[in-house]
Amino acid sequence: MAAAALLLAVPASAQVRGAETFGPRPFGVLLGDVFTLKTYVDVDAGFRLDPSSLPKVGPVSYSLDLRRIDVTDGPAPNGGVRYQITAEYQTFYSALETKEEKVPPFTLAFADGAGKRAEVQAGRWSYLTSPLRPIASVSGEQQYGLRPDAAPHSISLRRAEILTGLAGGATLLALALLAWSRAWPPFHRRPARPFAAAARAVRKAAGAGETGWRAAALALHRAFDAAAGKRLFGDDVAAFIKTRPAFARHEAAIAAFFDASRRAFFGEGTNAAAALPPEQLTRLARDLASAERAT
Amino acid sequence: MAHSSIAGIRNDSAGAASLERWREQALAFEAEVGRAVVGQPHVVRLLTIAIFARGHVLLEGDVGVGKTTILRAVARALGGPFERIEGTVDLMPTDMLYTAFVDDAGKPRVEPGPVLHHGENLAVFFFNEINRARPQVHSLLLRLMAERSVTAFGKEWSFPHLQVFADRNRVEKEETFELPAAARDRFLMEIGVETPTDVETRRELVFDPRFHDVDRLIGGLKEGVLDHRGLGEAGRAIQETITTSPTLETYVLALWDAIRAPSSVGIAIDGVDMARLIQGGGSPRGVGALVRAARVRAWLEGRAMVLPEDVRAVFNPVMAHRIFLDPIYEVRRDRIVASLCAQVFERTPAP
Repeated sequence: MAAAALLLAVPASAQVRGAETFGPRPFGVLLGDVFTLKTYVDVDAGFRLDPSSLPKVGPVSYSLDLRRIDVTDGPAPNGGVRYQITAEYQTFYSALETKEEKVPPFTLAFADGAGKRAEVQAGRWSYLTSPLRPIASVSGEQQYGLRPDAAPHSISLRRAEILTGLAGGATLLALALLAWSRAWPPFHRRPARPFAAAARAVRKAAGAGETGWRAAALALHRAFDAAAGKRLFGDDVAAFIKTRPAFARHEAAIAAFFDASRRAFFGEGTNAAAALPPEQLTRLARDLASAERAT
Repeated sequence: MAHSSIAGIRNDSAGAASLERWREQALAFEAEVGRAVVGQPHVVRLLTIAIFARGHVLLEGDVGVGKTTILRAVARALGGPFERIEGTVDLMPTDMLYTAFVDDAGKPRVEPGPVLHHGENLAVFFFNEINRARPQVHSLLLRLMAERSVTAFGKEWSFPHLQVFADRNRVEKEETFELPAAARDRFLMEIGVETPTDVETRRELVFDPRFHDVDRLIGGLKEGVLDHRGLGEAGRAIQETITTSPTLETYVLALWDAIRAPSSVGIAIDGVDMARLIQGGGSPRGVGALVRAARVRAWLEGRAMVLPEDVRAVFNPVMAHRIFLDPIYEVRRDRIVASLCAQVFERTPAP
């Protein structure tokens, strides 16, 4: 703060040690400007400021308003009390030319418990007001012309972007896990899930007449081979199920399948689809694929 | 599994009923042999298959595992004239055909020997320790097996019902003569006889006095459960009745290809150069024998069609001895051929 210290009054008595007022720079004040004056008053111990002596908020003169006044106290040297009075003024003086204006002082009263009173004048300040003048336009000077709008301040989205990326990654991972678990492409040729691939092949082929039935049965045979780790014949089914108990629930259906397959491939060309209708074949393949997932 | 549902021999042929009767007799035959031979149901089944496939059998195994007992039991249950001969280093072909001795009057006489003793009705000729006999003897045996005929006393002898059983032990190599490839190829099967692994069976074999006296054991069996004179006809009927589908034919041909060129189907055996392993084998006669034996097996199981299981069941006994390996691998033959056959079945898809 550009401070100007004015010794406004000598102490009225020994009880009030001094009152000083500080203000901002005392010139260049324009119509509507707000300025704050700080007044420090030191009093002896036992004396207290009489709050009723403070000036009231409101018009002080016809062109000056007191907008706010605050008082705080603190310790002063010699055991006294230092009051800090902050007064906020606003000037409405419309100067036609530069002129000195004054802030009138106010009188503060202090009292001790024994009825002794002391008064002091404080808060006097003067300043130079300046008129508001239009700016003389200078040719070729652009700096006062209209400037483009300031670019909007962009809020950082980094956190949201990272979170979105993480969520996307987690989704992809979950999808990949699901595809792996269900043996969807690209995991559909996984050797550990031969029945899942076979179930798809069977569903596609089983209904397509005798040829389709044979292709479907072959696909299922290859799945059995892959699951057993060798070529599985009908006679080996019981031993196979012992090693893969997950399929035990479907033992009867598996036996029926091998039986039908024998008739179809090694019998005398009987109608295979009659022995094991395509729907049953498809259901068996699906059941086996689901049993395989359980292992 | 599920045999019953697809059981039944074809009804459209007149011989169906008689084939069914033959099957009952075959099962009774197995049961009868099984009374004397315990712990070897596999061997007995293969022998039964060989009998109905009209093929000769070579039994191989350690000393004292019961090869001779099995063959004697089979010969007794089969019925018909039976003759046996022991292979020795000094055995000559003529010793099989002629018996020369000095008669009561002090004159040298020559009578029909073991092969001719029973005339042309001979049903079973049992050659014990065949690898002790000389190649000359093998050569005569070869003709006997292949053509079921010999020439002796200036005429041709024919043995329509003859079946040759031979055994050899694989322990000794000294003073033995390895069978020539041609002779081995003429055996329908070479069956390995192992010591039973089942504890109860072993206990029974060792402690039950019934098994200590082989003569009494064999003598206690019913004689002639099968009529050996009808076997040829029954065998033919089986071969005509039991069908092989095109799928099975493709499968057998694929097996054959795999045996002849193992590396082409990705078979690999530890420490073996697959490209040079196979020198020969898997002859058309061998594969034909495989199908013949598989048909009989299907018939014994009560089926009218041959399945891959039937082929698998008879594959090793029928094919293993017909696979000829590069000499450097002959020493490890047992392990290599077993692995080769196992892998052939693992690689060849069926159906």
